Amino acid sequence: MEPRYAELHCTSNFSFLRGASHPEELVHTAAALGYEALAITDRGTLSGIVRAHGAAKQAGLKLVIGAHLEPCDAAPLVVWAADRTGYANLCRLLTRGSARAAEEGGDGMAGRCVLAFDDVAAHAGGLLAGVPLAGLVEPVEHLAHWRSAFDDRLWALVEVALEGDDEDRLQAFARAARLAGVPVAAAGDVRYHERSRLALADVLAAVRRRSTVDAIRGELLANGERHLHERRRVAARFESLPGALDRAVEIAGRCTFSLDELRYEYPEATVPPGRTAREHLAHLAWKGAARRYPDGIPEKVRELVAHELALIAELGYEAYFLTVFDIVRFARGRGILCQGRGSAANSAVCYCLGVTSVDPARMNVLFERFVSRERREAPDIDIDFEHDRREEVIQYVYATYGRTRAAMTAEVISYRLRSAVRDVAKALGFSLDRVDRIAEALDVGDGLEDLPTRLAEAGLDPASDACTRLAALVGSLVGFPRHLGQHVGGMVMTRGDLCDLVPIQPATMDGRTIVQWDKNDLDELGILKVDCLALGMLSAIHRAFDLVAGAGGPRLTLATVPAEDPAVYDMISRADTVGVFQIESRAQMSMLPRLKPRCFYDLVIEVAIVRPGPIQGDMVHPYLRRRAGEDPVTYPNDEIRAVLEKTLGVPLFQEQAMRLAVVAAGFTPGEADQLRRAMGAWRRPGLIEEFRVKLINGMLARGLSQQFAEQVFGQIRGFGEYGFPESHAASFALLVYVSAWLKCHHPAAFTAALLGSQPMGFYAPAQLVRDAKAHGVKVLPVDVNASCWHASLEGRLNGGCAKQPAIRLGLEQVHGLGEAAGRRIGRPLSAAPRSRLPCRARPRGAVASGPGGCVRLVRPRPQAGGVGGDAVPRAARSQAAPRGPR
Amino acid sequence: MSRIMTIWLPRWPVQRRLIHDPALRKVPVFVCRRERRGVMTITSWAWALPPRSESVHSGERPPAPRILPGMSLAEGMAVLALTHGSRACHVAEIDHDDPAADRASLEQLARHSRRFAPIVALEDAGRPECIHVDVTGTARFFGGEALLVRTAVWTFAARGLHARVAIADTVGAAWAAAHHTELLNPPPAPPFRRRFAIVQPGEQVVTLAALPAAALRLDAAVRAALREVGIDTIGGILKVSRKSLASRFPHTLAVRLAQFRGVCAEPLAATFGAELPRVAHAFDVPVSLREVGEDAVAAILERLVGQCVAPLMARGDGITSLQVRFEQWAGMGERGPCPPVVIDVGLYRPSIAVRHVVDLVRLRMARVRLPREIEGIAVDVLAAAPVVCRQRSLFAGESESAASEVGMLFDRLAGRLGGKAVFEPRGVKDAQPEHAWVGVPPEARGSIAGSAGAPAQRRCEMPAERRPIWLLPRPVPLDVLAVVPDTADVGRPPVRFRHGGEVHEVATAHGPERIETAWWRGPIVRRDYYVVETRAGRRFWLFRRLKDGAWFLHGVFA
Repeated sequence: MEPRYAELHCTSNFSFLRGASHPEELVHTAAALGYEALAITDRGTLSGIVRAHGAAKQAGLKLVIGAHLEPCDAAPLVVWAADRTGYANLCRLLTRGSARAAEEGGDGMAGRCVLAFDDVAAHAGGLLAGVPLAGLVEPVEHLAHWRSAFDDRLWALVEVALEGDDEDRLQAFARAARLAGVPVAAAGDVRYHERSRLALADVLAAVRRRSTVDAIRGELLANGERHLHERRRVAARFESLPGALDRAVEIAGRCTFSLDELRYEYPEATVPPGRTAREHLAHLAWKGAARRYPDGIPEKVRELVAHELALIAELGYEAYFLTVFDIVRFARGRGILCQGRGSAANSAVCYCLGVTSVDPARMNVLFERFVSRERREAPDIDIDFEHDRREEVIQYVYATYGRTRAAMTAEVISYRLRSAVRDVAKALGFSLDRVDRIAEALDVGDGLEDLPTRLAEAGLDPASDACTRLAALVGSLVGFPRHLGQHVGGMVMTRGDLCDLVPIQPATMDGRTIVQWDKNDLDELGILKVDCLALGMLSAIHRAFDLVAGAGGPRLTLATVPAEDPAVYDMISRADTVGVFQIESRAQMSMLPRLKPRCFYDLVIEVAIVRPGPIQGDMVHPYLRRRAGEDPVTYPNDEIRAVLEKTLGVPLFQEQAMRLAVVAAGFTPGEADQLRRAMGAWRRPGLIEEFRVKLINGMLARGLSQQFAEQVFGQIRGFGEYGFPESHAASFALLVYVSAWLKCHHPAAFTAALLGSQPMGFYAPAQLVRDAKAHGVKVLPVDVNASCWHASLEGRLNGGCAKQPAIRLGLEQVHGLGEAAGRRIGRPLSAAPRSRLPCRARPRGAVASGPGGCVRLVRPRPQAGGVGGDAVPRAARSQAAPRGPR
Repeated sequence: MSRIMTIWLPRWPVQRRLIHDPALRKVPVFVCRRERRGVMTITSWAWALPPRSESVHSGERPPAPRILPGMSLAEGMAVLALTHGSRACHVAEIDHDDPAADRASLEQLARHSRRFAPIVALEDAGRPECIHVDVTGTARFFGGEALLVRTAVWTFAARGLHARVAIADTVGAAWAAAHHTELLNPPPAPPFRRRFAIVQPGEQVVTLAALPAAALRLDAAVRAALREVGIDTIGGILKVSRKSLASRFPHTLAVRLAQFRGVCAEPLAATFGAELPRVAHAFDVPVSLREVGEDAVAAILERLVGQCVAPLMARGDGITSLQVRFEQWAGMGERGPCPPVVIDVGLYRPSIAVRHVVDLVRLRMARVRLPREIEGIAVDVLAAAPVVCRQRSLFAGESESAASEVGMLFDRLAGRLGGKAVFEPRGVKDAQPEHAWVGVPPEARGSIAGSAGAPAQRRCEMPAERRPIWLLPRPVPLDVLAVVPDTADVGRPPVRFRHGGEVHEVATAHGPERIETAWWRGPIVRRDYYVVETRAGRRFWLFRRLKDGAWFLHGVFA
């Protein structure tokens, strides 16, 4: 009979640059080897445990949650969470450790965790602990020391790895443990799931030390025994220590905690007394609806709201909606423009609450896409805020919920092909120059299979030993987590202390804290988050609204911009869209005259169609041909017609592609979502292939042609990362419309606002100015007597769009003028009229004289293209070529 | 009125390398500095003789690639590849920047430049490329300034160096002129003519007004400030009133301008490091070495070395590097001088022992082909360092002198066998036993512990009882006669094996000690090592190759 065994000391690759296997790989291997349990004990982090948990549930293996701690004043220690208390203590302990690491000037993101014996002792409740004896000089003392903290919950972990004197060491360990009165348990100090990862582990060690493998060869482990062994071999190894294996199993048995026990509780919303959260939400929704539709709520919307409220109540998401509402209300109160994007735009309640701006009466919304009964998945509301004021919102969340209850989502930064090639090549001792050359030869879209070609391009022989080694190592390194970053805006809030749930660590940016889990992990555990994103265009629109109002125009808001203005669509159809949100790029501009948008939904399509997804999936031309009536609109069957009718039989939105997998290939919605995720992240090719076979077989079984099946697969693949969901495209389309409306009716204010929001968009200031001039707007040069820091308007708006005020370029365009000094010169004109400064005009230059006695001579460049007058606008310095995307 | 001659050696870091290795002229040479995060930045580059393009019949050279100092090496390579193809990148020579060596080498040249005038100084800059010579009143010894500059250019060209030379009233003006000799002698002038310029006394402002502002030796910030207002020539600066010059630009501009015009003196700071002795013996008539006899040469050498050592001794220094040149006599029929036969001697530690140094030279003399007839012998001390003087203890005389004699032995061995032949083995950590040592040159003794830069250089910490005294140079395959069957994949040592004609019965064994390593050097090495003791009481170090289960003997314990 095979002996029973549980591995208690196992490092995954979330101990960054230490472990050489994914948690999933470890779990699956342990399950295949028939282990009773596996503990994932990463160094000072719990980042990997949610993935391990998911894999363990799938594999039917018991997962023990723990961590490897290295206190600064005591022997290293492995702790395991026995129960919920223990888990909370572990989270608090790690939170404390990473906070201390950041205080000490280290980088919290690097996974450092600085603890002392006393910290561990103070959080010992509910934790079991093991002291790995290997390498300890005074094992008896160390065991006694830890015993004082853990009492009878302490074990001595004995670990040997064929180092020549294993038997002597085992006996020495056993003797020490006996002297200290601590029982002995077997463990393996596992670093990777199988022996073949030895080389990768060596490379990681070299990367960690910023050195080459050869240079640190003395520090490397002599052999590859630190993998998960067959139970029979483990037993043979610990033959002389009877009971050590059983004790490991026993420890695992005592750890009854599972992540399933975590109960996430929404923060209590600020509900007025005498009302439940449910009533309050309903009240707010109906009140909002009445405000949105002053002429009476349309029947369709009324039904939608009632339906959604019922579903929200059923699933218990009221608090979440109220929380989001609270954040939005705060932003509105501060005058910060904001707008929900993504799937939240499918919700009529969100529209009524003012979270999103896509009118459900205008669009076909699908609430189930946002919150669904079957999926039981946390809804995900993403809100865009003005770029330069988002920090206020984040700080408001921190202030409202407190640092202990709110934190930002982490983002696991993983190795991509290029970074993996770079690090591996460096560790293998390629010259830095060569490393650069290889890395530069790689394209963004390249996969592993392209690596040999690229190596050849970089002047290397792909068949050489060094290159095959490189390719193999890169292959296994790609996808490894490298460090924790901060998600762009995801915020997690809880009712109780967040650090009972997950360790929190300080982010690189001051005043921010992040949880150790990324958004997939949070989804898996059903923890709600709100994404507070930043959007530069919102800042620009806000500025434009202000300028219009300041010049005597109406006070506009996102909601009051007149809808469906034919003049705006005419302008868009002419591709006259320099500066307009999303549709200003070359690709978009070339599409516009062919698509000729005439209504809001056309804009939604326009936003969605010029994306890498549809382009790679070859959907653009079929759509255009069908729209122009050149190709007949056909559907293979009626189910597919239902999915694709809106877009003339061509899938343009992400959910359509997912839906296709469901109706055409018989996927369950859950599988379709998995498929999307498998495509999305840069995953192993095997998984994608598996889905491909399944998808194509499913379609063939439903009588669809092989060609159609392949086409759909290509489309889904394209959508994985770079497609827009319809609702998201709709949210963006709204901003497209608003910015286009501004450009059409208030070109001066629009251009001035864009100039003040630089850098953003595709065009440099010079190009924006040239475009404004082409539209008959007068552009006045920077003038020390008239300019503010940002561009401003001179003259009043008198009604029609024929007479536009002039743009006065801002001092910010003056090269070399600092913002502080510039703002002091350019105080708002209304505050106090500036005394006229003598402006000495020179034939070739002008003098901008600052109050600090700074004198700069400025001279227009030849390439200024007639932008400014006698001062150098910053425009002149930037390249004329379009800049990168927003 | 003084006259200053400035000798500019453009791209000095590259030129310096070209004299050492003329083969480098045919390839692009990049001198790079390693920046943060391992980025290599070009400090200087040149391609002395780019290939003539084959496509253009007239044999014109392709346009020189615009590679500027400060570019990253990768970028420079990319630019080079554009004009000359990637082949050029593959042959390119890349060397690390060594400002100290550049400077030392330039100082050496400056010393040689004393043949033009006694007051010689290097340019006062972070990375000097110029030598200033005060030629006030000395030009007529060379036949006037026009001939002097020609002589200077030619002298350097004869050494394989490309120099630009100019004479003017001030250091600033001479510098400016030397850097723009091509501008001052526009194209109809033949190429050689374009390498020098003379600015007539008092005319620097007129002659040089059209030169770029950068010719005033300005730093980047001042240049940028000038560019911003559209001033790009010296003449342009001269037009700006002094008051606004002072208020609008950094002070350095005014200083440089004053130095250029000669309003403000700029003395030459001739500060070389302490002079290294060099002596020579010239024979009255060319003599045949065979006639003179080796001992006589040795006697001359001894006298010369003694003359070199004396001034060094006074400073407390000793010789660490020495060059002996035998000047050849070319004979009557041949033209031009023959290159001297050069012997370079490096010493293990600074020495003032004349006899020892001469012995080393004689050792080397035995290995080079000496000319038949020589005109003279010159001895140059190339490097010196302080001699470490330690007080002798009264009773340990023997061992102390033994230690210094070991040093002399090293010198002699290195002299006879070559520098790399003398080394000391050091244990380093490496899982593969045959790689767990390195040869350290004996000079590095004592400093190795301090230079723990590479971790692998640390001392081996393997417990002594687990490594044999004698490691065989290469593992010897063993004939294993009996083994115990494996249990649970863990191997067992053999019971009986044959080695050296004897059959050994294993009494006890320790192990296995598994190594799986060296995959980055080649195929992975996977072995299980055992320490076995035979019934006869001998201890062997065996291993089993895991790939195929073959047994080997790798070491013997005492």
